[in-house]
This record gives sequence, C-alpha cells and structure tokens, in this order.
Amino acid sequence: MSQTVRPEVASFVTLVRAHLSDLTPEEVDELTGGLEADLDERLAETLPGDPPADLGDAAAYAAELRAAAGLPPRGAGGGRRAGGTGPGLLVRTAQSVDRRVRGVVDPVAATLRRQPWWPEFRASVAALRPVWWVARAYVAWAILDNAFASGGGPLPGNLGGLVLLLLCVGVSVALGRGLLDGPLKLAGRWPRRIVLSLNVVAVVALPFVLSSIDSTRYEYVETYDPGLEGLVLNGEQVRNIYAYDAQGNPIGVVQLYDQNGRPLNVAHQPYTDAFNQQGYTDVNGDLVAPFVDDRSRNRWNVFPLPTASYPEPLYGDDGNATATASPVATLPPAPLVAVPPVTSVLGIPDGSGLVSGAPTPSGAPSPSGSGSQPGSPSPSASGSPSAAPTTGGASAKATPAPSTTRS
Amino acid sequence: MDTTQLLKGVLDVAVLAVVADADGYGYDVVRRLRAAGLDDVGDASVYGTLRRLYAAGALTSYVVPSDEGPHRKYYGVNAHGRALLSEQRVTWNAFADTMSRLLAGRIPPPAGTTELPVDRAAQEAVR
Repeated sequence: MSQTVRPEVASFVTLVRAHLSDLTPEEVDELTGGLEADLDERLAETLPGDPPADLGDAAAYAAELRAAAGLPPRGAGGGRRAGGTGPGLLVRTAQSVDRRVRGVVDPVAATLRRQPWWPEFRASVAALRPVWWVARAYVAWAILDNAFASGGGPLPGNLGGLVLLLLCVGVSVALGRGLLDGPLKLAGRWPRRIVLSLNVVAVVALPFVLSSIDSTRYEYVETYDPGLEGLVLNGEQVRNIYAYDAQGNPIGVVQLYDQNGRPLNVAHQPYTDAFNQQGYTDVNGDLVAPFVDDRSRNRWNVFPLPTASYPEPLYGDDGNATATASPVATLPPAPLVAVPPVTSVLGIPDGSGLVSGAPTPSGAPSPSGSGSQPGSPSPSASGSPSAAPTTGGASAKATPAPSTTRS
Repeated sequence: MDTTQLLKGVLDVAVLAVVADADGYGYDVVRRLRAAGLDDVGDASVYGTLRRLYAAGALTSYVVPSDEGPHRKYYGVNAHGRALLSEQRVTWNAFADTMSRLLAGRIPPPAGTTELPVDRAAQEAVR
C-alpha cells in the first residue's frame, strides 16, 4: 500500500488507524487493509462539476468500521483487547474528558455538516492546510532559533538559520502530506499523539511568535552628543558664568574649579579646536574668546568669558578682502546688575559670620590639576566654606576645612 | 423511516449476495450495493461487514497489486459463505413476507379466537 494515493486519503487513513489504536495490530490491519485504495477510488469518482468529495470525520468513520465489524466501541469495557489490565487512570480520565467534549462538539459538528455550504466550506479550509504547515514550521523554527541561536529577528539572519527554516518547512509539509507516516511508523498510538501535541504547542505559540515579529526591537547605540559636554544646567548648555560676592555685587573675573581641582570649563574641545583654527569660537551665536594664562593655555574656566567682536573686513573693488582689523574683546555685561546679598547659612543663625569673609587662602597645596594657578593661592573649590549642616558637627563657626582632608 | 436502521440488520446478507454474484473489493461492493438501490449504505459499514464476514470464515480474500495505485483487497464467498447466504435468504424471505402481510393489514387473528366481522368490515371500508 505504499503506492501513491491522495495525501488527504493517506492522512485520513492514518487518523482512522489512530482511532482504532486500542485494537490489536492484526485487527487494525484487518480493518483498514485496502482502505486507501477504496477511499482513493471514492474520491476519484467525483466529477469536475460535483462538490468536492468529503471523507468526513475519521473518528466517526472508525466507529462505523468497528461497529460493522462487530468489534466493541472504543473505551468500552475491556477495550484494550491486546491484553493487559485495561486503561489506566490517566487514559480513563482522558477518555472521560474526550466523551464530554464530544458531547458538546459532535451535535454542533453534525449540524454544520448538514448545511448546504458545508462541503464547499470544508474544501476551502482544507485547501488552506499548506498555510498551516508553513505556519507551524515557522513556529518551530522561531522556537529553535530562540533556544539555540539567542533569538534573531523575524527572519533568519544567516545561512544556517535559513537552512533550518527550510528544513522545518520540509518536515512539516511532509508530515502534513502523510509522507512520513510510513518511515516514522506514525500509525501507532503514541507517535500520533506526539504529533498532535506538537500541533497544539504550535497553535498556542503561534500568537506569541507572530506578535514578536511586530514588536520593535530596541538597541543601545552609543552616540556622541557634543551639546551635552562641558557644563550643563537642567539640560541646557552653560555658556558663560557671572560671579557675585556675598553682598550681591558682580565680582569681575574669577577662575572656577570643581571639588577635584578640575577647571570648570564651559566650552569643550571641539570649540577650543575651532578657536585655535579660526581665532574665534562661536558658541550658539556668541562670539567668545577664552582668557589665556601665562603658559599660553586657553582657559575656558575663567569667567565671564570675554565676548569677541570682529569688525567687518574691508573689501576692494574686486570684491576680495583687502584688510582685516584686529578683533576686539570685551567683558560681557552681567545678566543681573546685582543679586540679593546672603546673610546666613540654612538652619544655622550664627552662619552669618561666614558671609563676611572672602574665601580663606588654603594653606594646603592645591590639587595638582593642570588648571591650577601656580604661584597664587589656590581659589579652588576645596577652599570654600564647609559649614554646611551635614559636616563638622553642629558648630556653624567651623573654619573652612583644609583640602588635605580630601582624598 | 430511517433506512440506515433497517440496513444494519440486513447488511450481512446484502454484502454476501453482492460478493456471491462476483468477487469484489471494498469500494466495488459499495458501488454495487448503491446501484442496487441501497443509496444510504455507508462505505465504512460495508468494509467493516466484509472484514467481519471474512473473520467469521464466510469469505475468502486476496490482494491484487495495482500499477498506478495501492493494492486492492478482493473478497469472494467460500462454501461456508454460500451456505450462510442461502440460510439468511430463507430467513429474510420469511421475515419480509411477514412484514409485508403485517403492513398490508392482513393480520391473522391469534389462535383460538374468532374473527370479528365488524372490525373486518371497518378495515375494508377504510381501504
């Protein structure tokens, strides 16, 4: 019986055999021997104009077959005639569930089968079976891909993945057409159940696999955003700094360092480079030029940064610039003429004593930052009063802590 | 009346008669039964009946290879089958006669009772 029959016949007969699987192999062979030829011929009789022949329900077919042959119905007492002790608890429970489900499903199915459009509908659904074969193959591939290849995209990313996908499709289609029933001995009871279980898994997994196709995949890409270099306040670039003393008056030029002695540069290297090449730095429209220290280093932490202006070049008759005037640097006016004076430290009434004093020159050597001013008392941040309530216990009269306490 | 219920009881003898007429494989027997007027016969029922008659020793079986398709399993009757057929034929004829008479209204009175002329006349009138 290995000759070619219609695939639907082959799979139908396989199903019928599965429904007879509680009988002995001899009885199954006896009942289904020649069945392929008979069903194939029955389908072949369908004329082109006729509605597509319908093999019907394999379970009902098997039941009719065994009833006519005088064999007990499935699940009847002593059902497992092949010997042994009858079905186990698990099998009996499954059969009970099966009967209950059938009690609900079968009347509906019978009603459907009587509808005039049913044969056409069934044939149309049957025509879509290959779609399901491919879909379950894709699910299998997606699961394998996630398990062993750390999950790629919705499609194979390399040749191995493509081969695996094609292999899955091939196996699935061969299974669907019944080509593997013989080689894999799928007529038996358990192999058929395994295939059925895999189908159930595929049905359950399909929505998840499909939804994962659609989901956006996020990747972290390292980007370089020059706008956030240097000093930033609330997301906005700090372009210049104006200092006021305790009384609220502008101080003039100050050099600023952070707690580690690093210069508080507002501009960053690209701007500096641009300045070196062009003589000007354009920070968001402002033409600024840094101070230069006695070692000819550009100092972007000395504030306010002077504003540079460049007079219009003079043009000759030929349109070319004939002469360029020297740029002029000015200290930009402070945005606020004066600010309110400070009077005390939060929570410490006596803190007003700290207000009067200018930063006390620290006796300790300043951090060895490259930006420190040689030969002059370090005005670094380490010299600032450490009278904050969080340090130095409760005494508000604490003198500025020497920077040697820092690590 | 649902003929499928009726068929259940007589499918044995019907199949025997068809196969006794000429050897045949499963679907061939189905076709001949339907051609004879048993339109509602289910093919699985016929196949099952063939297997049961074979298992009961009423039929012989042989496989005929086919070039273009799967092998065909042919059935034919043996001596036991022929004896069974003639026996069932007698049984069926008696049963069918009885049913025909019953349905025709020719119901004989139970033994020992006298016929009731009134009923008889009433029935004639109805007819």
